[in-house]
Amino acid sequence: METDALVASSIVFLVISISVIIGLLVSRLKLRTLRADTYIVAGRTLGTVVFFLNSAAVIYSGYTFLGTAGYSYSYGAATMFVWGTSLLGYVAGYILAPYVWSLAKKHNLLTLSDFIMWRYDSKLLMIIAAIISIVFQIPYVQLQIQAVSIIVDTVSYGALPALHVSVIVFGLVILYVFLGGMVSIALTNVFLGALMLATMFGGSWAIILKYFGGLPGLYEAVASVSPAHLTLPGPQGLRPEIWFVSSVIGTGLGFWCWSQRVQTLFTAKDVKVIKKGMVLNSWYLILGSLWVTHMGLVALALGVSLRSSDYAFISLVGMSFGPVVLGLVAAGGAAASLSTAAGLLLDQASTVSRNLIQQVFRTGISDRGLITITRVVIVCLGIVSTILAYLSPTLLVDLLLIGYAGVTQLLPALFVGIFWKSLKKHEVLSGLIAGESTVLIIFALMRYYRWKLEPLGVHSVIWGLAVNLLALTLVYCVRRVFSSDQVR
Amino acid sequence: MEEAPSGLKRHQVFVGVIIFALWTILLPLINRHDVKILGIPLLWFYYIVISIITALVLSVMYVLER
Repeated sequence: METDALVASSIVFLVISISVIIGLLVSRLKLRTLRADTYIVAGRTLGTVVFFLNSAAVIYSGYTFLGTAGYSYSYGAATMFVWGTSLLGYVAGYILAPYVWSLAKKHNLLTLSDFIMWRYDSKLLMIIAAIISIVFQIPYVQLQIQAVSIIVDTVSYGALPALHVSVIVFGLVILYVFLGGMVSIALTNVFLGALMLATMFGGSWAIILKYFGGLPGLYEAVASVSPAHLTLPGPQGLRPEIWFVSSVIGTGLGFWCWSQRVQTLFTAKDVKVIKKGMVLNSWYLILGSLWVTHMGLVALALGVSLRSSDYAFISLVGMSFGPVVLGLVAAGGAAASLSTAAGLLLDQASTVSRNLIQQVFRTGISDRGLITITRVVIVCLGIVSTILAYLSPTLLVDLLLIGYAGVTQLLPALFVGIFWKSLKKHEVLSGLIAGESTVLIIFALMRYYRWKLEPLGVHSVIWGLAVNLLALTLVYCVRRVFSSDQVR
Repeated sequence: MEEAPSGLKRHQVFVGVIIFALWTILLPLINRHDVKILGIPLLWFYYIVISIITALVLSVMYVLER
């Protein structure tokens, strides 16, 4: 391996080693580790700084670091919808999350599916919610392994077997999640979250200033190469205004339907911590991912040839600076992927152990038993994710594409149901089935007829939600009519 | 279902709806390639500014609540 590759790779592996050591050391503290709520939601004890950086590290993934730059390289201005997704998610979170957190604390809820079970008292609905959460999370775990693989490939200049190395790194993550649960994840994420922010902001602005002297110079250069990247519907005409608007609304509303994000909410010490976390997370996006998004435009303006669009940010850093900066920024990318993978893994495992095993088969299971089952599931899911990372089946890509639309169908069950007090499980179940079916049918039609856009250009999140709410309302009205007849 | 421990604040819901609207309804007016502000295309300028405004509004809501 050449000296540059050795330096850059060493920095990445040093950072990974530090985070694994933090995770392992924290797990040795045995902070009331025998309690299930300590293992799964850190005993609801996290203060502002740890809560904020932990939630940021779980939310901002390898996609933020590599994918959004790749998206702007391919689709131009449409990539700005991801800013709206997160920021509108924080607005919704600021208003709704304290309410959800209070209920979760009062009733000792540990997962999103726990919340559904508590609200509707329906095992069937809980099982469906758990399965939806787990299935749509699977490709995201695999995506994080692949992101680390891209990073290893870049920093080693192709000298290391990238996928094998990323799987070994993933194995170390499984180890500290297994031992310390959420406490290990949260304290490791303090380090990883801070590193991500520093590298996203520093790396992006260093590149923009180096080549263009600021944003106006960058936009001018893009306008001379491909002006279509600066407006909608973008370079290939695939992202019209209606798509952008429907994506912003749909994904913004669905932001908190991801089970791992709800679980990080439950870790907060109090309501004030959650609200401060939402405010700080919004500034995290402004300082970090807003500028990473521009890296696709930079690659376009400079005419950089990329192996794939996801290589935009990391390739630019490699060609612009020495191996030390490349190593640091790449370490930030690895941090983003590993922290998200850790959060996903714990959430998936706890959803299986709590909602698909404890509450379905053995309700009398002890806290210690629940932790043991969760640990076993962590290992099993880790092995499955590793196998999937090697096989990379087409099904995973499909799940990834419909992931957001799929989980957002839980929105009525989660948030509408809190305020619509007379809503019952029958209505929610009907809406959920109708919504998910709509999403799947639209996807199948797009595949079969090779459509490049959803019907009328409206994002499938909105189509699914519309049918979901319609079915829910219809069944609700029917039930009310029948129940009033019975009263007479 | 039991009552939740704390309720929603109406003015916050109102502010939230306004922010959602600002992210979406002005798009047809600002999706133009011929207008620049400070050398930045209008569409990009608007969404950078609205992102910062969203974060500022959340910050102000928190400060006012304390």
